[in-house]
Amino acid sequence: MNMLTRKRVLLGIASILAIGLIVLFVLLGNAQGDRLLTEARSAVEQREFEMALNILDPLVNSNTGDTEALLLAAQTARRANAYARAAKFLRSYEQNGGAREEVRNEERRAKAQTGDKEAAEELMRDCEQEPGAPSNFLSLEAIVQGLVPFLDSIVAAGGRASEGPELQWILGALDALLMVPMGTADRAEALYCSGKIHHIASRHSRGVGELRQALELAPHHFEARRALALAIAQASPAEARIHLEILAQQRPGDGPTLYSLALVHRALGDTADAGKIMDELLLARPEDVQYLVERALIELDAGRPIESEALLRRAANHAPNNREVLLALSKALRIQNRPAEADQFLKRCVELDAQSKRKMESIKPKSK
Amino acid sequence: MSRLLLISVGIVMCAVVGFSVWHWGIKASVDDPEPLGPIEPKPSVLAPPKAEGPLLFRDVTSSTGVNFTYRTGEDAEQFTILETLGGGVVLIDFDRDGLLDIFLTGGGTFAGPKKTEIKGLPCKLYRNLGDWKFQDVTLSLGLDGIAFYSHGGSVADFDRDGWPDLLVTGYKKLVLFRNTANPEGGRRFVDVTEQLGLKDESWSTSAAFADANGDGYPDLYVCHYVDWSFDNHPHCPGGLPGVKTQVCQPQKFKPLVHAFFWNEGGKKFRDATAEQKFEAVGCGLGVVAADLNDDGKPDFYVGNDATNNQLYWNRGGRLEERGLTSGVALNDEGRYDGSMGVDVGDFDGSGRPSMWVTNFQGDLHALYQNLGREVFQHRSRFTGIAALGQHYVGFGTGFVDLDQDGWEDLVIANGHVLQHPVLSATYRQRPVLMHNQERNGRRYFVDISSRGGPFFDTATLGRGLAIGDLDNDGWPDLVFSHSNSPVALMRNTGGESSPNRWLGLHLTGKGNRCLVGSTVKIQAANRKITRFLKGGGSYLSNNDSRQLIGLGQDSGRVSVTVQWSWGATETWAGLEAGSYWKLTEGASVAGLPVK
Repeated sequence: MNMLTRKRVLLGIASILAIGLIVLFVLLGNAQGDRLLTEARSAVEQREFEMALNILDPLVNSNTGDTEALLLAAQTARRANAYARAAKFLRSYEQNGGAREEVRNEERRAKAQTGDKEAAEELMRDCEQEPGAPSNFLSLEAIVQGLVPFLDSIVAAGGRASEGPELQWILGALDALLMVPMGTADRAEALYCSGKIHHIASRHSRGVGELRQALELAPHHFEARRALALAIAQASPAEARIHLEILAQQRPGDGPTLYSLALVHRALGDTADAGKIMDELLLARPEDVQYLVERALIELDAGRPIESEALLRRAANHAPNNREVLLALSKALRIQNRPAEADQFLKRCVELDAQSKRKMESIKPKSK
Repeated sequence: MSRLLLISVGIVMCAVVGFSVWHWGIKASVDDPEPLGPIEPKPSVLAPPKAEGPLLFRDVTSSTGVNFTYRTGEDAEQFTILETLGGGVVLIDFDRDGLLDIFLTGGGTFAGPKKTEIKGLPCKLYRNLGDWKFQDVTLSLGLDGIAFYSHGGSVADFDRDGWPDLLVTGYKKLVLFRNTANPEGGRRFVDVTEQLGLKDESWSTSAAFADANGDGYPDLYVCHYVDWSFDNHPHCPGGLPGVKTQVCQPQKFKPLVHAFFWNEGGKKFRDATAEQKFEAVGCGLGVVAADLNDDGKPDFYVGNDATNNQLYWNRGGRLEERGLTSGVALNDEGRYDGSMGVDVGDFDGSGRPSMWVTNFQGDLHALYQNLGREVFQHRSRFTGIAALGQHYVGFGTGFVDLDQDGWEDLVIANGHVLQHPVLSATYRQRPVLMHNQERNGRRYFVDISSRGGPFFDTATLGRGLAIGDLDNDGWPDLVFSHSNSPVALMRNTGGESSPNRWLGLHLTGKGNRCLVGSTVKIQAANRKITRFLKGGGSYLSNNDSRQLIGLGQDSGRVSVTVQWSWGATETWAGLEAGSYWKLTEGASVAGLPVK
């Protein structure tokens, strides 16, 4: 082979290699885009929204015109309650020629999810008009998510959701959501929301049943297990303890879980276990009145009124008019055969009760 | 040439392998969340736990001839608080044949065009014929004329003639029947209420007889409930899906002042309510009288619905209310409970009487441990009571040694007052048996309802409950009254399989003196047992007045010391287990075992 021929062959091989590499990179690029989208969808299906966004971020940055990825990113960010991020993706989606209808729906979902009733009602109407639409799941989920904080605030105020058209509407939305086909993780989440809301809405049996179903589908669903533990604590403290122990394993050091577990241990007469937990909690917050009182009550249960008194006096320093502290102090002192001191605290407690009663009566509407 | 080709292919392969590694690396991170350990199995919320041991009770109702239902008038759909209370069970050996007879209140209904006329329904007295057969003797005993809406009853020999008399409570009426000889043979009850000046037109529920001033005659404490009437009958919305109306809570009404009557020589009852400075502060449903501070005098503990419970220390006839300072007015969170049934017993072997109270849904049933010095401590959590849950509404109740192991257990009749209760509670609820066991060196109550047989797994509207040995076999039987469903007789069959021994005591004071407030101390070979003679107790009901003491497997004879409420103490030694003994004040030799 002469030099010229050799050069031509080498050039040919180089050209083939270059073309091959270009083709490979193009193929890889497309495959990577498809792969990323698939992975993102898979993460979304498992409600791993942050993970999905981590996958989608580079994808939409490298290919800003991928409207499919942009819409998924917008929906995912909204479902993760990252509303600013969701709005950015949605703008980009719109600028790249995304469907106007999808933009509008997604905007309404974001509003509904943050408690906008008008947007929720609009979405609900759409779902009712086209019951089989694939996007109904996202709309109904957003509606239900928007209701949870509202219902939580009712519970925090110590109340229960009152009967009426509003509650019926909420329950209707839940029923509609549960009718829509969805993946396992989404179903578990939907059952958790439904169970929690039914419990708040005095549909206790259904609520507990749905929370149990949610846990069957997603045994590591922390919030569902916590909601179930709290829902059954009154009727079955022994079962509530099992759930709270699992939760404490899932999130070691979680204060509210540990405190609930200590309460249930004491309710079952296990003062040693309750005491250990409260000691751990008090290490983190040594002057927390609620913790001090609970620890003191454990000491009282365990027949150690002197230790109980010391804790209660610490609590009384921070909350001198706390009825629970005063009553417990009175008890601890009476058990120690110090009736005069006990009477002082009891008297103060009775005075506070009388004050509170007078206050209540003064704000009662006067009847004619 | 071929080398160059190989290099080209190698580059492409590396790119593919690298791509694959990267690809599957991400996928693995999506698919495999961090393992969190196994999920524990979940027991059911409401099913009674399975307890080890033979069955303790057999429902014998159907073959006894007792077929009676307390009616509340619920079918009139008036949703009155009146229909929530239910009726009681009174055990009374009216003919002194040694067999406990059963008196049952009948309740009432609502008649008239608007169904606002309150009508009473008949009560029944069943005579115990032995061998678990009973006969309706209401008519022949003159008890067929009780025409008011009745609730409960209590028993005492108010005139000390040796025959037990009967008090019946109810809506705006209280009736005392004297047990007299029937000229035609047998016994007869005669209404002596008016004759004795026992005037009580309030809404009476539970009552307790006890000699509070030491004159030997039983005085009378009567619980009153609230000021409901059809003139004060607000509408209370259901608050649950599809429920327009529910019975109103007691908080909608004002509590009525309770009543106290001095028994003046069995000839007159004098109203001493004002003298005792009672105030209208408690919706009274349960009362028990016993010596709670070891001073020999009977004290009174009152279970109030949705108001503080009350403890009256007996200061020589003056009743001093000290519920709050004694630690028995409120629960351990400093709130009042909705209390119904009450009892007194030495659950911890301390020799001191502790207090037991059944409460409403959301409350713990309350066990107040007696620490001495007139101080009590709420012990429901420490003793396992709280493990039962708070979805029950408890009514009739009592300490009872179910298996005769020498430790007093607990029995509770349950049933809600609301047809549509919130949370996991149900309208009808199963009764509960709680066994007093040793755990980590302390006493602990465990739900053993599954050993009670099918009845204890059946939801009912339990109300009244009386404990007594109906067949004199030495094992305590139970009689349950239900709202709108038949009464149930539960025969204790523990004796068929248990080696545990028992001792029965029938105590009598000189001149048939009232014994409430007396204390009985039993010395067996290896242990001491203390029991208290009580008035009232449970809910609207009256228990066997005899003492039935489980001895476990303790062998040998036992000695019994009675600390009479009037101060004297007497001891009887060498009593054999397995029999009822008649111990009479001043008679140093115990009477022959009662067969």
